[in-house]
Amino acid sequence: MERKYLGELEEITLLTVAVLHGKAYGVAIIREIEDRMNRKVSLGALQTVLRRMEKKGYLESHFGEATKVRGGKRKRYFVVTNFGKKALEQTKEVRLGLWESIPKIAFDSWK
Amino acid sequence: MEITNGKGPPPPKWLLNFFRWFCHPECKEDIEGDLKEIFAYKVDQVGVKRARWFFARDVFLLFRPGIIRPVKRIYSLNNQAMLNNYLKVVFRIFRKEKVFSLINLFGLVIGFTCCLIIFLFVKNELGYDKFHSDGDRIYRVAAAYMREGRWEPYASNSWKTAELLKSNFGEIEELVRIRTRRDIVEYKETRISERRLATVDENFFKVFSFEWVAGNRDEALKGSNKVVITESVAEKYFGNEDPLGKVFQVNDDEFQLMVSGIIKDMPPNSHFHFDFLISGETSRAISPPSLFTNVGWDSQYLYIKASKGFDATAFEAMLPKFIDDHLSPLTSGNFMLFTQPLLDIHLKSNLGLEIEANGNINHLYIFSVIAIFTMLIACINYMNLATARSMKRAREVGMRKVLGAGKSHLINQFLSESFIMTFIAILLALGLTYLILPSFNAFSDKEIQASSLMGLEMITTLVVLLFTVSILAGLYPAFILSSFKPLNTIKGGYLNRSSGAILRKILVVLQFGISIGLIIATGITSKQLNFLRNKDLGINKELLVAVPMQTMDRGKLQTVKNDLMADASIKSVGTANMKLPGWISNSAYYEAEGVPVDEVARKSMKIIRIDPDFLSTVEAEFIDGRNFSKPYVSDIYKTVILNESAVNQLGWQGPVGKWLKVDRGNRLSVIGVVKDFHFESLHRKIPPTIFVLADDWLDWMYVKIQADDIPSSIDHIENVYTKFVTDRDFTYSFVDEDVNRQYMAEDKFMQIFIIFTLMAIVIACLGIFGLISFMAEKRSKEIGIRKVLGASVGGVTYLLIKEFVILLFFASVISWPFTYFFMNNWLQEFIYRTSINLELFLAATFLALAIAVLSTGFKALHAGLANPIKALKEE
Repeated sequence: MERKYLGELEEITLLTVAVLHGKAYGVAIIREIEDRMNRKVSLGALQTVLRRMEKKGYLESHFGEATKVRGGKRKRYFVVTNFGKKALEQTKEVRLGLWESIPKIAFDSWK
Repeated sequence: MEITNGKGPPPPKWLLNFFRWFCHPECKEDIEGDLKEIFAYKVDQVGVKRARWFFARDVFLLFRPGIIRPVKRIYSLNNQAMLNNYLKVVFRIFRKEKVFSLINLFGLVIGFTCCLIIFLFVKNELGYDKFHSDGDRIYRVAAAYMREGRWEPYASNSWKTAELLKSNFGEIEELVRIRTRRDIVEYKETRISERRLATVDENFFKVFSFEWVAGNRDEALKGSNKVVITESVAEKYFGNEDPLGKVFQVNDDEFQLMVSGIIKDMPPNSHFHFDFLISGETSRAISPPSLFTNVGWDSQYLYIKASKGFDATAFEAMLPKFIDDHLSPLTSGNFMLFTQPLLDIHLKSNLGLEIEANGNINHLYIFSVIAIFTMLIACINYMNLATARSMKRAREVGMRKVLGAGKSHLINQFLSESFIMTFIAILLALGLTYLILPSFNAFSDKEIQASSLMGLEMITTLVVLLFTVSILAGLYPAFILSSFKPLNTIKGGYLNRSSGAILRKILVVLQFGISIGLIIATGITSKQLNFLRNKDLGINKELLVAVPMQTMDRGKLQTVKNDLMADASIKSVGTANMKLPGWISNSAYYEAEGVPVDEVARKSMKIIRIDPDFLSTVEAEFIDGRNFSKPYVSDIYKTVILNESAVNQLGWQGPVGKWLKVDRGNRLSVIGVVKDFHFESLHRKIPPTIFVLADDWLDWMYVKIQADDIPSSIDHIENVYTKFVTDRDFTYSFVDEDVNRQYMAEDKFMQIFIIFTLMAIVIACLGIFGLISFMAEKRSKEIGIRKVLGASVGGVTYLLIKEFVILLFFASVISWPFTYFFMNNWLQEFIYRTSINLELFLAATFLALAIAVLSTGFKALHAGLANPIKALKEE
């Protein structure tokens, strides 16, 4: 299978969407990232990443109900697809593989 | 009114609108929701003001590729599809009706190409001398002499006049004199006869801004024997050496010139081009003293740079008094000075003794008119063919209307069709122009760069042309086609009615009229040119060889003549001080027997110095008296020969034996009168002329040879010449060729004129061809029935052509008076001119008729010959 590499922001976004499980929409994702990682993501950057990953098939989206809070505009909820999950797992495996391959001596010398 | 959550302020409206405009429709809603949610949150957190800033930041950060909608989707989906459909239909029709479409396209391409080339030409002509930084303050001071009640203007002036002008008028900031020269320039082995030299005053570069390469701009022309040369001259003589400080030998050690500066070659769009600028002081040493004192010696071109706020009219008003006060013997009655703005010189000045041949603003007008005509004819083709074909597309229009297209949609459709057509035509024309430009440059002696096709001005012009032409050509068909009633078109009723027939006829008349006018104009132009070329000059110019005598010892003239005549092919040899044909530059004031002095005070006559053989060599005809006698002594400085005009100016009866004094000299008695002959070009009236016998100042030798073996006669002349002249090269020319060369400008003009006329006519013919093909097609059933009922092929052909012939005669009737008016005006510019006769007009009409019949006849005949069954069986 062709390997899907995730960019850093892609990976974070995808994970956050998974964390929010069913409640992931634009502003919620931004807040979650901000809270967990103390990292500011602009709406523009986030939305671009979301659309891109939706196009690639990592994410799916559907509209929620209209609420008064948002000026009557509906929220778009994102869910990680199986394909997205696979991509996340792949990325994780690559990382773990790398971690495990580090010879003990390399980090021991730091102590 | 924007709904928020009821509390809190709304986000800035314009930013929101901007976002809605650029955002991809698919994600518009939810992102807008996000934006608003964040805004409301920020308002709570940091207040409205800062929240707005955050909002703005968010909106601008959203303005990025992933979010912006695709450009294509600017139109709503529906329109987009329609436009695609229009485009598709254009290409379908192009494929389906290749002939009509190609005729349209071809006509437009040719029309645009003519326009582009003429535009480039006109732009180039208008761009002369614009590079001088104070160009608007630079003027040339030119002079005019009263001759026979007419002011005869010259571009040049005298040295002394310049000095007096400068000292008398404070408004002249700088005054520079230019005198053209031809010299032999030598440096080491390089020895070249140069033609583009000039002595100029030291402030030359304060008036003119030529680009400087090396040397000191302010000092270079100070002092004598200095010269500023152009880059190409520097390379020609010195190659890689540093030219500064090098010394030229001029005219075999007559004087030396030290290179003190180098400038870039003078740009093509300057009205003069010199390669050597010699410091003015140098002329003191090398010119005769009278050059500096004689106010009548027109040797210098005077250019002034006037102070700011200079009023040329007021300045000119002061000049007559200046002439009377300072320029004796000239008076304001027989002499005048006037100014010409530098920027006008190239296009508007056509004086005597111009430095170089100038352009002619009238030619620009004429060419522009032709360009417009060509374009108009191409547009008419488009209109005619589009309306004529309209019934073919009636069904399409009907269907579109039934399916909901409004009138404006259809107008849009047909306008976009003509727009696409025009756009393609412009692209092709650009390519064609690019290909043609080098030949056009070679032909018109221009240096128009292909890059000027891409200039901003050009692009603006093209865009304007694109819209004008596509609207001009497309608007009428668009209105006609869009006004069809859908029911009628689908029923088929419209197929039998040609819409816009009247207008089409008018347009065809216009086309024919323009074509006939252009043919007549071409005819008259070429007739005039032939007239100039072939007019009997009053002398025999055939087999006459002109040889410049250069450094030949004038004392040995008789020996040279004897040696030349030793060969049997040489019939006679005469000499004169002027080049024939050429400008008679010497003129003199005179006193004459029985003519009151005050009456002649304003008049002058031209003087030509000749030897006893000149008049017989050129075969001038005597109407009274005799030629000079051979032994010089008896006639020299005692006698004179006049031409008819001179006798008429004097008002003499029986002139032989009367006396004449020239320039306060001795009394000379008139021994003969020759019939007027043209020494100068036919652009000038034959001046009253005095022929005096001379033994010096004779610079040109004229040799009459026999026709048998011209090369060997020339060889013989060269052999004799090189015996007597060892330090100069032998050159010669045939007088008849020189005569023709005088009309080169007219020749060029006419050739360009003919080419463009031809183009216009070709386009018009194509249009007519297209129209008749269409008519034959439309009437194929009628023709079929006629044939079944017994009509002949000839009859059917005639039926189709008849309409055009009638239109053509209409066109002639309208076109003739206009053309006559314009061409008559044009002819008035010439002093010696041909007549305009009716035959020419008739011939033009018949030519147009022949062309029209030829281009339509084939198609008409084809229709006539077709098998009627084919036409009738289809339904």
